[in-house]
Amino acid sequence: MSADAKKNRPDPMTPLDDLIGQYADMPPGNFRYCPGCGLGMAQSALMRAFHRLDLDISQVASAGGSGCYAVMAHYFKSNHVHGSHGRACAVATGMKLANPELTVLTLQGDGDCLAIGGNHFIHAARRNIDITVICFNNFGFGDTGGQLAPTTPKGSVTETSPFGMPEEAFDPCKLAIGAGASFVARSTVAHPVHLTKTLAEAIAWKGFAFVEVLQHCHVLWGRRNGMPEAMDMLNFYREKSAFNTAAISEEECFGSPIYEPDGEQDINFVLGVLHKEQRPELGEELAKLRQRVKGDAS
Amino acid sequence: MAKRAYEISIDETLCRSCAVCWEICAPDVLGFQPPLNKAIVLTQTDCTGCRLCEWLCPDWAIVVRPLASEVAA
Repeated sequence: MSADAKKNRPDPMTPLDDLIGQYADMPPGNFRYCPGCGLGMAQSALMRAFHRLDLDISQVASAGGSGCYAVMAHYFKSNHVHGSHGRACAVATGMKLANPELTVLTLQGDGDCLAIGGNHFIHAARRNIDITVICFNNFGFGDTGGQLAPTTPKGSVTETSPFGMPEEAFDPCKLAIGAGASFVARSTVAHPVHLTKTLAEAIAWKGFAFVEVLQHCHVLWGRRNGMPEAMDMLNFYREKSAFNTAAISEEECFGSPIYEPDGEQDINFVLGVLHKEQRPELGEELAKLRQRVKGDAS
Repeated sequence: MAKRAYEISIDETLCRSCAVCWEICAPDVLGFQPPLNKAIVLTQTDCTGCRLCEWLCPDWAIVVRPLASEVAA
């Protein structure tokens, strides 16, 4: 970033209540999340990412489905379509094609994005439509009581795997790259500044951008795995994460997370931008196609 | 150079005692008040302005502002 651009950028230290006035539409009373939930932290980072990009909130549209995160969009002044479970990518694709001026996001949970909506997710990535998919990964289905999901780390205890999850977990970032996403990044709520910058970079990216946000659920996942407080889970993310630097090989960036309480594995999650690739965007390709077909006809 | 001072305001109605702020605060500026264990400011003068409490509060209850007089100085 040039010195001038840095100078003109909105102040990253703007106090929270100023941001709330600009971007959030707060109902009276508390959030509907559990006390200490990572979604409140992720939401704060998302609002700061809007501020960092100086976005006009009326030009932001988001799509969502079912899950704990589903109320998040209702706390923003942005436009929102609450679609059916797992279909947020399909809804967002429609919104972006209908009005390319909009900044389109999908706010999804891991169960919504990768289990029930897995098919929509991989095909949105394949088409490289200019949307940003933000997947809040809390290692399970939080809204329905903490059942196992495709992202539950192997060996961890959930409602429906009381003796430990026997299956291998998805690596959502690896899946996104395999499906053809042009921007893939991972961050956690325990690294709020990094999360804000990553979200801002993903929203500004032209093409399909995927951000996996590791967001704790200490009530349903942490409590069953020896981390009953929000702070325990934040410390878990801080200890088990490493930033994607030159010292980390490409093989180390990906891999299914394995939960071993006394294990030797130091790093489970490599954070940062894991993949970037310029590819033709679907909206532009369709515009070209339209011009070619109509031009031939006339 | 004079140390910059910060004003921390905590909205008690929003705080839900998750304990993230006072556990993450390195200089122990924040503490908790029994019986509800809501966050309170103990020693405001020790605040370094890192804003981790504000960035990590899941209920958006904490706001950290530089004191106006210090900004002008």
